[in-house]
Amino acid sequence: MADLETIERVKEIDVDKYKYGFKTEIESELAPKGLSEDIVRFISAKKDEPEWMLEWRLDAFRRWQTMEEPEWARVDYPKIDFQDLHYYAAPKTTEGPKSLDEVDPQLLETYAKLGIPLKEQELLAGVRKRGEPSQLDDADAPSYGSGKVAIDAVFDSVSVVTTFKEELAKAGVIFCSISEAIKEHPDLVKKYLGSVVPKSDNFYATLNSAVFSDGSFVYIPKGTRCPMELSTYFRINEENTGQFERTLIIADEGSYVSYLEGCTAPMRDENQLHAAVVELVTLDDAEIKYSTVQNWYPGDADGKGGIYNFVTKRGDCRGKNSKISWTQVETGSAITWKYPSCILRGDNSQGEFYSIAISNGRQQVDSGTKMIHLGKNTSSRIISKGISAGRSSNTYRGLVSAHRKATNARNFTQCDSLLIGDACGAHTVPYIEAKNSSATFEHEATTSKISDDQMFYAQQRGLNEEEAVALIVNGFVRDVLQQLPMEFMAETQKLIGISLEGSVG
Amino acid sequence: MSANPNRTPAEETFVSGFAAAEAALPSADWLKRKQALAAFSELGLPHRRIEAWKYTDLRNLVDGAYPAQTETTLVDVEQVQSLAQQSIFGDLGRSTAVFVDGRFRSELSSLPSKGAIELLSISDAAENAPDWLSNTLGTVVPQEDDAVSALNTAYMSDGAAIHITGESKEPLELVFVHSAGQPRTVSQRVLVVVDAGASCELFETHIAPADARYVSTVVTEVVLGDGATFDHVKTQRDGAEAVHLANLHAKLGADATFNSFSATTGGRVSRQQAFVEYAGEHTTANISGVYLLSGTQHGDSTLVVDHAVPNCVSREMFKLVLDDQARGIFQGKVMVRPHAQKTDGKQMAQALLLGPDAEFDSKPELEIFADDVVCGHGATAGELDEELLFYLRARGIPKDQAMALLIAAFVGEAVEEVSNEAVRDALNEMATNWLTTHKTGA
Repeated sequence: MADLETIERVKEIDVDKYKYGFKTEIESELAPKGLSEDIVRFISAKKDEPEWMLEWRLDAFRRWQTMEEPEWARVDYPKIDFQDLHYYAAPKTTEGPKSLDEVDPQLLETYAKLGIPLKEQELLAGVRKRGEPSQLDDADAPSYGSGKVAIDAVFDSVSVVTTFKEELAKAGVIFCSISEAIKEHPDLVKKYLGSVVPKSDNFYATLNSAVFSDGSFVYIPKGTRCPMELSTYFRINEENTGQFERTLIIADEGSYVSYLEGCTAPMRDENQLHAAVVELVTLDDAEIKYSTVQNWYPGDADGKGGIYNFVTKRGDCRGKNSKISWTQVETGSAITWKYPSCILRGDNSQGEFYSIAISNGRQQVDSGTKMIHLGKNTSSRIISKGISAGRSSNTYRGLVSAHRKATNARNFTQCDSLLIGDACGAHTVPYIEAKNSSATFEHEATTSKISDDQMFYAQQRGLNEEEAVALIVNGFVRDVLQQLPMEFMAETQKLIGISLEGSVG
Repeated sequence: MSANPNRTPAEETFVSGFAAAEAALPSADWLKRKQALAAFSELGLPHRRIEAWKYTDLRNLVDGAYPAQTETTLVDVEQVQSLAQQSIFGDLGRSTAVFVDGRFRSELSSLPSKGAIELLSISDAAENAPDWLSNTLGTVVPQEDDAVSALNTAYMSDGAAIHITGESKEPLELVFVHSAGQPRTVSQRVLVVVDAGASCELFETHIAPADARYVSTVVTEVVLGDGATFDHVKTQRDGAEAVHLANLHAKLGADATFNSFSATTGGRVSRQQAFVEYAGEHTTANISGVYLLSGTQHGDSTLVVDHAVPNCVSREMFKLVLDDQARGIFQGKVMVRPHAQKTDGKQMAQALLLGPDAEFDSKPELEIFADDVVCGHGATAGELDEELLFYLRARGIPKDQAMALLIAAFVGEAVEEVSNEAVRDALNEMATNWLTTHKTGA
């Protein structure tokens, strides 16, 4: 009865208010505004990084200075003054509390307001039932169940608390902030950082390479199935800070990991820039499942404020029989520019992309994926569901290509768009390039509105218009919802309802 | 128009050769040659950095200078006639207008008797053009942003201006023949004005000897009045060394029917673009085509369908058979403007890759700003289905024959879009002939 629950949730919600719009008053340490070599040095020094890392950043910065902002995406926004941003902000509690009890209570309160606090996460994950003591309270307990979620909470730029870390260490899994990894595991970082998204890959990725503040690092050793879902909550909090996450996940031979990324951000007027880079590497027979729920502040009804989300996400199926699966639910941000991609290098490797992109108000989404088939017998699958409402613009932009030597490459793509209201736009821009005859590519796209018959049927059975829309939309995106880890599914259904508020009637 | 060191030899020849060529070309102010040349010298030949030309880089593909053909050429009449007789429309009762190297040849043509159909040579009519010609030519084609149209307008040497005022009983065929000789660029123009309620069936044949080296540009403008019907079937069988650049621009009135089918087997490089704009409601446009390419042929079909008004229907169906190292490209954009409600748009592009190194690139695009629409597209690429082949062979059909059957069925689906049964048969026969003259992996 998930659909009914959704309707109830939609009912509960306060219309016209971004539920997660609040600002936490925590002192933070800011770098001066602007971007220069000195700032790059400042960031590197703040993080106490080795010399090679500083050189890496400076090289990226120098290249970035010669690059131009891309303009091909179907998004429209005032030019960003890159000199008018802070490139580093750290909450003062950088000492790193060992458990939630030690965390600034205001922070915990923030998470509570988010509706997806760490403890709530436990509930959603079914680790404990409501009323039972939280397992977070006795994090030292030696055993770990399969339904647990380890969370690396990122508050602004610095990883504040990492739970379950010790238990993961027992399995040999390294799950820490990237700054820690640079110090503790320099060989792994040197080997893989920038190997999927090169330092100067594109304008935003290069900027990220120069100034990235923090992010997650995951290494799953050979033959290990990561005992729990790994998860990071991103928050952008400090005013006028760009958030430059850098995530690197390496799944060594025969390993498996499922990684969840979810985020919300407080309401404010200044546009905020977010330029993250996520790199995934799978070696032979390894698999990474990467799920995202993105619900940053989309701006107000007139499109004022809101997050600029310019993200480079790419996975490299480097080994044979490896697999990378991206699942994303994009409901927030004023502007989304995001193309999680798979490079299918290893023979028999697989790539997947499941996406729900919802835009309302004046949001602009230009998102999609690239499936680049290089190895033999590689296969990929793309399911994209775009929903645009209000005065928003929602674009799917994707590439499927098979290299000359990628014999027997297979792709199936399904892109569906749903339009709600006559002032929004839905666009589909797929590129399909088959460079050898054994490639089998199928692409299908449809665009339509919610059918009057469906609405009539639902309303005739007593649902009001908004309930009916929520029900139908949840059905429309079902194929993708099913790909989400259990913990995210309920949350996402709720989000879909919230995102579409005020879109009918 | 300063000399630009970055120009390719082809571009340089087009820009610098204009002054000399202009004197020899038909002259009239309404032809607007100078403006077009200025636009071309600004644009240059399209290249892969221009998104719409990503897969067809003309700067690269038009290799070397192809000076514009301005004069009437002296050709072997028998050779021209034997080429013209290869037209697949030969058995259909139709009148013909034959153009040789870009000039109308009345002695080779059999023009329709005066009636509902009026056909003029643009060159002959230049100085004394009727209003429907001088006021319409160039109004459907946007001059500034398309280099091919600009080049064609600057250099058009001749073409057909057709005005249909009623129901034309007899189909009309335009035959464009090219002769062997020095490399050259031939620019031909077609204008079709179909009055309200009138109908027109137009065939178009492009044919040349295999060794002729030329760039052929054909810009066709079609204006359909309310309730008008237009059936267009084109066969592009240019020479193996030819570059064929065709732009079809159509503006459709209300309750009109527009059908355009093209079959392409010729040319080293071909790019055929269709731009359809709806000016009135309840109109249907059907654009379809077949590409049969082998060797290193490069065939590009680019469509832009602009649903500017509500209640219109568009259908596109393209089938490409690519052998050897042939490269096929399909780019189709369906635009639905705000308030163009109740739009129904469907598009399908399918490629059959026969040669191991054949390539198919496609970019079906939807750009939708209205909500009450039903739009969709599909694109597929793949080899012949092994299972189907096995089925046929298990029933004793030799491999070659089984393949031919499957390919014919694949192509036939697009040919089905043509309403005239006799034309369908002729097209299927053309496809079968292509198959038998190319070994299909046997």
